[in-house]
Amino acid sequence: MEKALSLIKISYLRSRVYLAGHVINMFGSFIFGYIGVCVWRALLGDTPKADRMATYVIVSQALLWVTMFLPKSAYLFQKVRDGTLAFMFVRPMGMFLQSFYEVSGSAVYNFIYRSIPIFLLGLLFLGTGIPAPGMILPFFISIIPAYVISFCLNYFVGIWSVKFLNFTAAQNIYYFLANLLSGSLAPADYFPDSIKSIIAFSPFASTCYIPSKIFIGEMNPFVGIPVQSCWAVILVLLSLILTRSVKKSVQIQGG
Amino acid sequence: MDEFISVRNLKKTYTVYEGKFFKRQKKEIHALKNIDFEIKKGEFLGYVGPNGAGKSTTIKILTGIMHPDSGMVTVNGFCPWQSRKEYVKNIGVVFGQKTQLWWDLPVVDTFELLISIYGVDKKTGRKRIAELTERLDLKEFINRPVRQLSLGQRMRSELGASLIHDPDILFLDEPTIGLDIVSRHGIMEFLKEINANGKTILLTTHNLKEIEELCNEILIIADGELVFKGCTEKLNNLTEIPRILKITLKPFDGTLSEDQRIIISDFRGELEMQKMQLNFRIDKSVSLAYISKIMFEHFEIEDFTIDEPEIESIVKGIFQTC
Amino acid sequence: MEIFKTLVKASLKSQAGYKFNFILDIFSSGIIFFSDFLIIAVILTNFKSLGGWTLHEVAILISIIDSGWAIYRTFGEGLERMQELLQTGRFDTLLIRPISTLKHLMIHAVQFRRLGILVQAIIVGSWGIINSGVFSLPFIILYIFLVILAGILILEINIVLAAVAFWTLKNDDLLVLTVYATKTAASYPLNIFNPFLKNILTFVIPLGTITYFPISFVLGKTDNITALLAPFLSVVLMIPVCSILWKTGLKKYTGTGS
Repeated sequence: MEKALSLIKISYLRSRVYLAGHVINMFGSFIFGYIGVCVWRALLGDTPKADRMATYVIVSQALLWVTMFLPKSAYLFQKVRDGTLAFMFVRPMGMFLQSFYEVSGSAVYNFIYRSIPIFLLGLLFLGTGIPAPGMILPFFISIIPAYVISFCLNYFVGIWSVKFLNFTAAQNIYYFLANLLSGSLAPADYFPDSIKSIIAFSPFASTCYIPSKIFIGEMNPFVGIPVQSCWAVILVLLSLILTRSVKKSVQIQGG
Repeated sequence: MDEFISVRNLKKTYTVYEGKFFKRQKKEIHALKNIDFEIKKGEFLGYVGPNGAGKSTTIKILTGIMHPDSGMVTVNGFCPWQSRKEYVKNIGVVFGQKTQLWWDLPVVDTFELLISIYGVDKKTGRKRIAELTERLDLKEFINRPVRQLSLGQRMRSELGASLIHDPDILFLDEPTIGLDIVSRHGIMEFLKEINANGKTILLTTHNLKEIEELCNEILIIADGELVFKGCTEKLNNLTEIPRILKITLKPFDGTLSEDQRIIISDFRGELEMQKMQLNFRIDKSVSLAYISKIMFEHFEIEDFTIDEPEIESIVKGIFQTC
Repeated sequence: MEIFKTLVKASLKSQAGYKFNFILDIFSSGIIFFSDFLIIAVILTNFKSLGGWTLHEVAILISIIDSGWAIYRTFGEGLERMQELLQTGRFDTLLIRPISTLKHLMIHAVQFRRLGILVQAIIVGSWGIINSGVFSLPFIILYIFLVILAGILILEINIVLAAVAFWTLKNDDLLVLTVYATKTAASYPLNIFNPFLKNILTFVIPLGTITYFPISFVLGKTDNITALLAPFLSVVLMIPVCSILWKTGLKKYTGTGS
């Protein structure tokens, strides 16, 4: 546990160095949220539903920083490039866990310095709402599987890049799916009826759609969180299997 | 008109800020205090000095990258920073630490790109590429992207790139840094050859051996001031800095024979019992081959190293003699 | 021009050398932009219009911005690497060449895989143009003009940002705020935003002048002829801004400005 904490801390501090730049970046991200809010207010007019959607969009935008915008390829491709990937195998901790703690550090940083400020800016300037008291705890709980799932998806991109030494294509395909299906601007409810429920139950929706819906009180946490947890377990198991196969190929190539 | 490059009263000061956000403190660093020198046509000048002494600043000013605070520079009739675009057509530059090649393109394409940038006509350009490929031995990797080259291959390509427009003057900033002995040797031979063919060269390096072997003139800079100007032989006489010979002995019981004791005292050596190490300070007048022979005859030797004097200690030496 | 031709030829040769990766990269760089369009398309199938604009009309706006972006990212890669060039000191190597530094940045790299963005943008645009009933020769000519102007304007904005890096040494985060965010905003009808953002997109980072205003005029949403002229005005007015900032920044770099 001590090792885990120190890995998280190092990666947190690494992010911390660029605080000034990140504040500017955070404002940029807030503008993206604001654009989404404008779109939904223009579509729904002056209705309670419009207020809820505004909140939904800002919460999603804030959550992107602990889901879709995690370090690309979970730092793995960077390590392939600078040749430090081999070091991950000589440590007494599995590659998956090491990556997980490393990425967790920047996720903690992102949550404190980007997610929370974006949400507060929304509260101050865009009149977004806060959850019903009963939904606060479920919302925070649902962030955890959302993060784990996102980590695994980024980790898959990393595994791909280690195996095929090409990162751009895998990253772009991941971005395409996550952007479209996670529901950060267009929730699953607005997709055509035939694919609506498939999308809502996809792992991508678990990273953004489910927590944001819980936040605005439009989803029963006793349905949402179990769905998320299932995906989290499945993806972690899949990650472990893939780690084993890639480890073999790296050892053969000699890192 | 034999002064090809002339530098007069060159001064450059940087302002740096220390501390964070509010309590910033202004601090002035005098990179060049008052530099004067000249280079004749066809000369091979070595420019040495410790890190941060002002070597890079001088090169940057001479190549037109940086403007000095005051002073005069004329190179082949041009002032580098006043008519940069015209001026750079007649100089070639290599930065050992910064590539000037196109990372993703094959070497030969970089050369062709440079030919169009310098407005060299195509026929002459082709001929020059063929010539440089031959003389720098680039053939085997000329169609490979630069990012795939080894450091030695890349440096040979950089040299080629700096000569593609056939400049009269070449500025080389640490071109051999990090290279293995073979690549280093190849590059030095090439430089000798082009100097013999009339190119004026200014070379900065850390490696004194290179200077001794290549250059006929040497400039030493320390703390923004020139501390030595003159020919290379003169430097050798100035700096009577001994080389340090370190010999690690094979483990033994610690008792020395009569012969061994005499040798140690004759060469003013000292024995460090704990490390089983013998240290000697060898003056320039003593042949290394001679002393090594004696040592190997009389001692059981595990390891044997010679420390050549560093630039830093030579500069210190010059200060002491002045 | 000769320089540019040599570079384009060389880059094409070297990038297309790895055919499979090249095609995969072109395709995948296109689809991430396509996902942004799909999201809007999904939303607008549930509603008639966004701020009075149909999905087809919005598609035209998106396609102009994306095409401009694709053109810029294909040829303006050097500007994107300004931060890296300054931090590693490699910017020096631009100053030892007998051409202007900006010109040199333009020929720093050509990235053909970004052309995937252009392909998807033109598909989206064609679909929008045909279905919104503005398909005509004059409109196609205007559209091509707007795409080129968008490329130039985005280039100009990035020159300003690259110049800023002479002082800050770092501009990647600023890029997110001033280019990525505004670029996204300019692909929507500006009337859905509050006046503050609308003014910024009109007068400060004038990406709106290249999309919303001229298309509004063509679609008969405004009679003001200035709307049609806005793209030309902003591209021309940006020229002195870029030139002054770049020259000042370069002076600072070479040490005469401070």
